[in-house]
Amino acid sequence: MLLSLLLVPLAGALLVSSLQGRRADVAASVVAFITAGLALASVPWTGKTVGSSLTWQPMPGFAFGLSMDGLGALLSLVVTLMGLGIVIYSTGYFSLRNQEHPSEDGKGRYYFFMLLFVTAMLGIAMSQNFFQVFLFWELTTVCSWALISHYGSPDAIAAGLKAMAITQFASLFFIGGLVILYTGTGSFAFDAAAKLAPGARTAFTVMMLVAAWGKAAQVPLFTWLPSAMAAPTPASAFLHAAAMVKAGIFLAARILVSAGLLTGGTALLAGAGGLITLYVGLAGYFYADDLKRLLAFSTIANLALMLVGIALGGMGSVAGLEGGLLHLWSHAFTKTLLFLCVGAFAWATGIRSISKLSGIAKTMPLTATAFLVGALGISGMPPFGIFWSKLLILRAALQVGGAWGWTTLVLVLVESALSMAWFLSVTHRVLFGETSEIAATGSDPSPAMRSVLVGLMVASVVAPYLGMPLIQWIARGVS
Amino acid sequence: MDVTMLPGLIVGILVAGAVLVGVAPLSARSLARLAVGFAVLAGAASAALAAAALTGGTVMVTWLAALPLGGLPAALTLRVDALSAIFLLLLAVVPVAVALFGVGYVAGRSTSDVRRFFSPLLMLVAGMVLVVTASDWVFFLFAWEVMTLSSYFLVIWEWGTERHTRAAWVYLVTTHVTSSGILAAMCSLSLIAGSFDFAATSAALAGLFQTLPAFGYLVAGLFALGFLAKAAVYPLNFWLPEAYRAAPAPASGLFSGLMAKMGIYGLIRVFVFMVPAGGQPALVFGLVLATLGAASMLVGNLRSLHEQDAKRLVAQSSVGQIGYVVLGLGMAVALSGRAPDLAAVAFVGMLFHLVNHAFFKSLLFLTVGAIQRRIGTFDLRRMGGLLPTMPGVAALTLLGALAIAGTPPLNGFASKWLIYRAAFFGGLQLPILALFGVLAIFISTVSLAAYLKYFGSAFLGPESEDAARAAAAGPEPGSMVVAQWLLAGVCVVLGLWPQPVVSGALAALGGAPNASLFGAGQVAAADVMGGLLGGAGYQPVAVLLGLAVGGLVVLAVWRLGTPEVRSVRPWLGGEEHSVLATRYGSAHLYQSFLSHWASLLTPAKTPRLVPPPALNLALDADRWLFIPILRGYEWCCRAAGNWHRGQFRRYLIWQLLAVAAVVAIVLTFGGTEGRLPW
Repeated sequence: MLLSLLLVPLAGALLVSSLQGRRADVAASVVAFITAGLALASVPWTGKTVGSSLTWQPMPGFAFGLSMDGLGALLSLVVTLMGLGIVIYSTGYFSLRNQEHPSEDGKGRYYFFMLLFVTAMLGIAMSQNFFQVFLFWELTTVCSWALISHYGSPDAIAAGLKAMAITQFASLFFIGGLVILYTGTGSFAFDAAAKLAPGARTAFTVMMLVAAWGKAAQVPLFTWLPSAMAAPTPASAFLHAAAMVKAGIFLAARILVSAGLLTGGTALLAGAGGLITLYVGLAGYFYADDLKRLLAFSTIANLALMLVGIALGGMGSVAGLEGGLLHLWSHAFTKTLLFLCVGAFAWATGIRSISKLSGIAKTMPLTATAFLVGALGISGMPPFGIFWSKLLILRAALQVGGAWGWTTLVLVLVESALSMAWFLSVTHRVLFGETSEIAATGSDPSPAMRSVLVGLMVASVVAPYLGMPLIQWIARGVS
Repeated sequence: MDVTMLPGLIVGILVAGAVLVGVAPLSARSLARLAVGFAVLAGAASAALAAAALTGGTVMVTWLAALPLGGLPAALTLRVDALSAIFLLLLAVVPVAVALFGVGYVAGRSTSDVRRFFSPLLMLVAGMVLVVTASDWVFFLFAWEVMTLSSYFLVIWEWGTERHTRAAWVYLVTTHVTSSGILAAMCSLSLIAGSFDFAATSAALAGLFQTLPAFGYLVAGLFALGFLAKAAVYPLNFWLPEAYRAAPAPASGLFSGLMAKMGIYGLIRVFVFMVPAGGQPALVFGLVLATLGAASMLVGNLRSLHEQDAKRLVAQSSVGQIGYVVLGLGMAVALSGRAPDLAAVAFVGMLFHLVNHAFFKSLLFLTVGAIQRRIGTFDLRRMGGLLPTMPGVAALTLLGALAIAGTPPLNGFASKWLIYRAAFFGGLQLPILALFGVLAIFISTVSLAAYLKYFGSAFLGPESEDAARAAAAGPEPGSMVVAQWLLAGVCVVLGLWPQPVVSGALAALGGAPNASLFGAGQVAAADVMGGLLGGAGYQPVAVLLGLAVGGLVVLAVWRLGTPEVRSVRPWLGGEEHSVLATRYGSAHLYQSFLSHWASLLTPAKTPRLVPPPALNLALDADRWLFIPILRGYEWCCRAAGNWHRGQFRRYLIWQLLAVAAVVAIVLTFGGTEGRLPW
């Protein structure tokens, strides 16, 4: 079952790579749909880890197998559901009606890397040991490189290279961590890490944390993410809301949940890094005129908040871990929605510039509604999902208490207020007021894209109630 | 039907209504009617629930004992006591009037406009119903934010106007930011109490004042921050005039009449029901609230007098009237335990004024809406002479104006009378309260002046150019007229027959944990309005008779003693001028008086965030970190490349040097047994 979950998107990717035009669209959608269905079917809702009996052990310490626990299930669902939505959206996006990039070329290549990306992320989610995680981890780097460079312009190629170089640099630390782990215990298993000597354990945790920082675009390894906006917008949505960056958060959560590390001093390091990045991300808002760039910095800040939550979890507050993971989950839906809205604006008008768009609600009411929902959602207004994760994180900060807890509380609250104010102000400028000339040329996108927007709007409200059982199960395993 | 099903029914009706109005494929007209239908149904159910709670005692409902959010000990529990019941009664009447009025107000607009008006309106009412019934802080905050968000959608109803979207932005950001005070406070208490339940957190706060007083003050202060901002108490009133102006008039009526009251509801729940009565914290917070209330009263009413925009005038007056309410609440809290019977009078006066304000302020907003519908402007300088075309609206405006200014025998007087009495007699305990009492009386004159300016500018005098168009717009539809008369009727009835509200308010006070310190149980409803405490009692009927006799006397004098009036065209310097040009208009009124208060009339400038360019450079880590690293790496590569030039001699030298090095190592470290040292 789990193996088929891995093989279906892989086979689909190979199949789609040779197709073009409508056929590629249909094939990719079908594959994404089956994958999402398989993922939903394999999620262990009952709270028992599902393991595949198939294990291959080529040499001592190196084992390959698949299993799905709560954390893996959470990531699998994010990846496959977002993947499905984005593939469906892409079928409308890559068309001659697209004002920003009117082209249908390279669809096969795009879907190939997209589905391969899904495979890689599922591999990360279902891996049973750090070595296997690493292999899929590197595969995601390759896929993101290809997707960012998709359009082949000099900018896009440079951005792809930059993303690859920085995440590769961070991966060196992953390798370092693996070496420490293997020399110390002779195994790559998740729980082996707990058996390391104290010094080696800290070194291992810090190495893994740096690797996670690179993937999740944390300070100082964050600059690749705003540049990566050269990618086609649906690919950006996938990379920055569901797939690539969430792998970093997943790694941090994995070493806390499965190895019991990331506590004490290293949790403090992760928390401090998160808080710094939170404000770096916020500062980036103020200079962004490109809507996608704004979303990129918002992603950086939100990923930082997830790490803050997970770090609070490491300091002993289960609510913090729950909050961090719930934020991963809810953020996926809301941020995908926002990216796809920006994609729709650009699709219809060819423009993503905040200063050139205004009053677009008049010509693109549905997309505008979706963007407003996304903006209010990302700001943590109830009834949208992110309210709950922020509430959990703030409560965790108070639970941890002391100077650290209060600092976290105040910093998160202030950041949340400022980012909400800015985000909403941008939203108002783009959606409301007099309709600008460029905005007047827009119209709501194709039915496929619209249906995805509507689905995500609903999801950004109901998501936490669906994800919470899994998250509670993960949290129970820790406490 | 079981009474515990009512809350779910009310919310269900409203949410279903909001969804249906949002999506049902009907004409604009049918959508509006559908919305009114849902509002009436929900209003009836709310009234039934309130009646059940007032007669049969507190209604407790548990929808969900534990939220499916593991780390969060929150529950969906509701508790309808007498206090909630009073607010539910308001929620039963005012939204119905507003929705009815809305039918005429949005007539002629597109279907999507109608959807965007009624759908958030119903959600807003649903949010408010949950706010006043929730008994769990997480649930409360959730409902609170749903209320905020729905009202935001009403403020941006006309999103094409830059001014409105700016107002909506300021409004949402202010309320969302200040509500994080509520969030931080409730999270702190929940960690001590182990749950978010009202009763448990209340005990936790009381304990906190014993063990860690400073933290207790902080928590209560954080609560106050969120609630004061929603109620728009000075100095957190800056968002209000523009937001109320931007929203459609009936929605503004609902905002001012009910939504701002949710802030007061929260303050009552925290400072009467949670902060221990009679102690030091109660005194401190009571005096702070009373001072803020007095400041609001002063600032709000003076600004209202200064306004040239009818809707902003009514909106500013909201700040002033909320000031009376907060003053009353502050006095009740401060006097608790010190003078329980006066605390009871202050509390009843506060709640009574709140109820009254819900009716006359909504009424006044509706009259502004009616005028705007006719002539398309809020500018008082462009109004005038509407009396012949809109006699009904003029009468209602005058009634609302007299009621809000506290003219007997209308309801505003009855409640203000109680507040004055509590202030003056409370002055014997806490002298500052007497000062506030004097201020309150003075300010009610100012509010009367403001409304007379509005009334005079809009209805009296010669007909302005804009007003000449009024007749063309046609008379108000029946629904609008009914809505206004409904509210006006309540104002008259409550003025003549205040006893039910007084008893209800005393019952609400009786639900507080330390009710006896507030005089509950010791003070009967008749005493509150009567001659308790040596002060004069208020007998509306007697006052009405007195007024009637006085009126007859004035009329008689007028008839008998005034010579015949001759009207001519205005003239100056021997020349005749047009009536319009020589009119003493709203811009000229009260100038000399207002010039003394100039510093209070303009709000402080809101700071604009201008991000420094240096920060942008600092953010660009590529520029100062990665590119230098890359350059350094390239430099190293080139340096290494310099060694590798393909010259045979150079490689030979490297080899020789290497051999020499190996030999040297072996000779230096070489062991005796022919093994290398490692």
